[in-house]
Formats: sequence, C-alpha cells, structure tokens
Amino acid sequence: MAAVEAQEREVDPQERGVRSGVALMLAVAAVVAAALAGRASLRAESAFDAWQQAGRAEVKHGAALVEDVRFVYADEGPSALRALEARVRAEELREAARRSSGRVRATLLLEARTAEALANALEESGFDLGREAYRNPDGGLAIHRRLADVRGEDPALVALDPEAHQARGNRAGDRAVLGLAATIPVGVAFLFGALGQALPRRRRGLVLAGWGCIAGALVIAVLLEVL
Amino acid sequence: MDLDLELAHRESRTRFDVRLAALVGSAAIAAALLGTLEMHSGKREERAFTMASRLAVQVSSGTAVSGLRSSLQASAITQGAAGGLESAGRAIAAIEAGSPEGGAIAAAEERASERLLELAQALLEAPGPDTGLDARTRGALEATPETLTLLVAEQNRQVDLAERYGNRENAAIFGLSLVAIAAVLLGLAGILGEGRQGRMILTVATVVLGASVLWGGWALLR
Repeated sequence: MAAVEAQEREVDPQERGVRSGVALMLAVAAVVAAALAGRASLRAESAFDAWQQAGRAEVKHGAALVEDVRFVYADEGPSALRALEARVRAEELREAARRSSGRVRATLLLEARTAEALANALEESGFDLGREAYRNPDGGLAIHRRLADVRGEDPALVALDPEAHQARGNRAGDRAVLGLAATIPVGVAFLFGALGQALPRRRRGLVLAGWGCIAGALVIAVLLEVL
Repeated sequence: MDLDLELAHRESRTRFDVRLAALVGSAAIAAALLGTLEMHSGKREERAFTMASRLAVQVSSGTAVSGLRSSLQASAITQGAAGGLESAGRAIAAIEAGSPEGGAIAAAEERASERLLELAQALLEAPGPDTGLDARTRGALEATPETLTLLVAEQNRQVDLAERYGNRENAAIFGLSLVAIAAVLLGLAGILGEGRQGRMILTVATVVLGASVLWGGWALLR
C-alpha cells in the first residue's frame, strides 16, 4: 500500500491532472448518456400514448359515424322515401286532375287525397328526414343535411382527430430515436477515454476529443429540445 | 538482459491494455448503436401497428357507411322503377277495360315514377362541403370498392411493416445482449490482467463483440 502511494507521489502532477481529466470525462459521459437515454425513454412513452390515443379516437369516430349513417340511411331513409313517393304521386295526380273533368277528375282527386293521406301519415310518424325542413327546392330529400344535423348532435365525436394524435406520436417517436442516437458520440467519448487511459502519451488529445464528443451529444440534445 | 525483459513486459502490457481499452470503448459504441436501432425499430413497429389498426377501422366503417348509402340508393331506384312498371301495367289494363279513369291514373303515376327516379339520382350525388358534413364523413360516404381496396392494400402493407420492424427490434435486443456479455467478459479480462487466461477471455470478448456488431448489421438489413 505504502509502495503504491509512493509510486503515486512519483507521478508528475501535470500527468496526475490529465488522469483525473480522463476519470472526470468518463464520469460526465456516463451521466450524459444516462440523461439522454432517460429523456429518449420519456419521449418514447409519449409517442406510445399519442398512438394509443389515435387508435382510440379512430375507433370512437368510426363507431359514431356508422351509427349516425345507419340511423339516417337505414332507420329514417326508407320511411322518408315511401313518404316522398306518396307525396310525388299525390302531386302528379292532383296536377292531372286539374287538367281533367267529370268522373276522371273525381277519381284522380280521390287517388290524390289517398296518396296525400299516406304521405302525411308517414311524414308525421316521428322521423325528421321526412319533414319539410329536409326537402330540397326540387322536392328531393336533403339527406346529407339531415346527416350533418344528426352528426352535429354530438360535436365532440365529430371533432375527434386521430390524425393529429398520430402526427404527435410520429414526431415524439422520431425525437426519441434521435435523442437516443445522441448517445453514439457519448460512446465514442468512452472509447477515447478508455484509450486515453491505456495510451499515456496520447492521453491529452484523446481526452479533448472525448470532451468534444460529449459536447456534440449535448448540442444534439439541446437542438432536439429547442426545435 | 533484465532491462530487455522489462521493456518487453511493458510493451506487452501496453498492447493488452490498449486492446482492452479499445474493446471497452467499442462496446460502448456498439451498445449505443444497437440501442438506437432497437428504439428505432420498436417505434416504427408501434407506428405501423397503430396505422394498421386505424386503417382496419376505416375500412370497416367505410364499408358499412357506403353499404348503407348504396342500399338506400338502390331502394329509391327500385321504388321509382316499380312505380313505372305499375303505371305501365295499369295503362294496359285501363285500355283493355276501356277505363279513362284508369288511363289517367296510369299517366299520372308514370310521371310520378319519372320524377321519383330523378330525385333518387340526387341521392347518388357526393355530398359537398356546403352540406355541413365534415371531410371524414364525406370521405366515408364517398368510399367506393376501388378506394376501399386501396385502403386494404395500405393496411396490409402497414401490418407487414410492423412485422418487419418487430423482427428487427428482436434482433437488435439480441445484439444488445451480446454486447452485455462482451462487457462482462471485458471486465473479467481487466481483472485477470495480462496472462494466458486474461488474453483468452479478451479474445472471447472480441469474438462476442464482433458477433454483436455483425448481428446488428444483419438486423439492419432485414
């Protein structure tokens, strides 16, 4: 033990300083690598969360869309079509009656009133698509407007934007990878530090190169935070 | 003679130390590279898997929505056509029976049928932005077998990508395991020092580290 201490005392103080520099550089490299890996891990977690949200939003949006379209096109649509058919038939029969007379006119008016009664009954049977509000100027069904109104009853579901979550996840994922890639120059710093320990003559230059690598990794990390 | 032996010993020790140091540093670089490859592959796999899941939902909802729309359109057209056939039948029957009332009703129904077919055509029109529908809803309503086929192809591509990146991630993890083994061996070689056993362990560590780098390269090419 005493011999080792005596040997240490024999080492040039400048040389001892450079050796300490190697140890310090390696310690800083380890801390920087740990910090970079930790930050990358947080970003990776954030990316995973965003992608999960994108998936959930897609499912919610898709389910709500199918349900709304089913309600308008399958529940309301067929009844509205039957009402429309009866209404158009009544209009044409009444128009024909206007141009007729006698028994023909009476028969046409009877048929027209029958068709109108059916149309009124269907239009008042509780579904909105058959109502006057959802008629186009040409008498057709404003089914897209009706669907927009049904969808508008729950605007939060319409506003779901899976693509925005996906983009956020993609960005966080890319940054996680780049953040972890910044540990590569730190690995090179480890190489320089280890070689500096083994090659005393080149130690100073290798230590400086190691510090340069650490600085490069830190610059990448700062750029990832700022940009 | 003693001086020569001392010099030879020092030179040998330096070579051993340099080799050990170079391998320790290389192991650090290999770990960083493989770790980055593992992270990259893992994130790409998650991204592709999410996209594949989302596209599957889009295909399902697009199929359901466009099916419901087509079904109503078909009903409207069938209703209009049936009205036309009914009016034609009534017209023939009215002529045979000599009924002017029947003929008048048939003519009115014929016009109603034509109008209904025109109105049914309006249901076939794609919804525009002025309808108040959001772009995603409009897109789903306008889905055709061609667009759905494209979505399915993209969904399959994303599934394949997820599988490919998943395999790459597994390979990178195995490479990292080899680096860890190499690091342990390097530590052992450092403890044993220059000697037959130390040199042997150092050689094994070199082989393991080299294998990890080759494995990482192979994973990258997969």
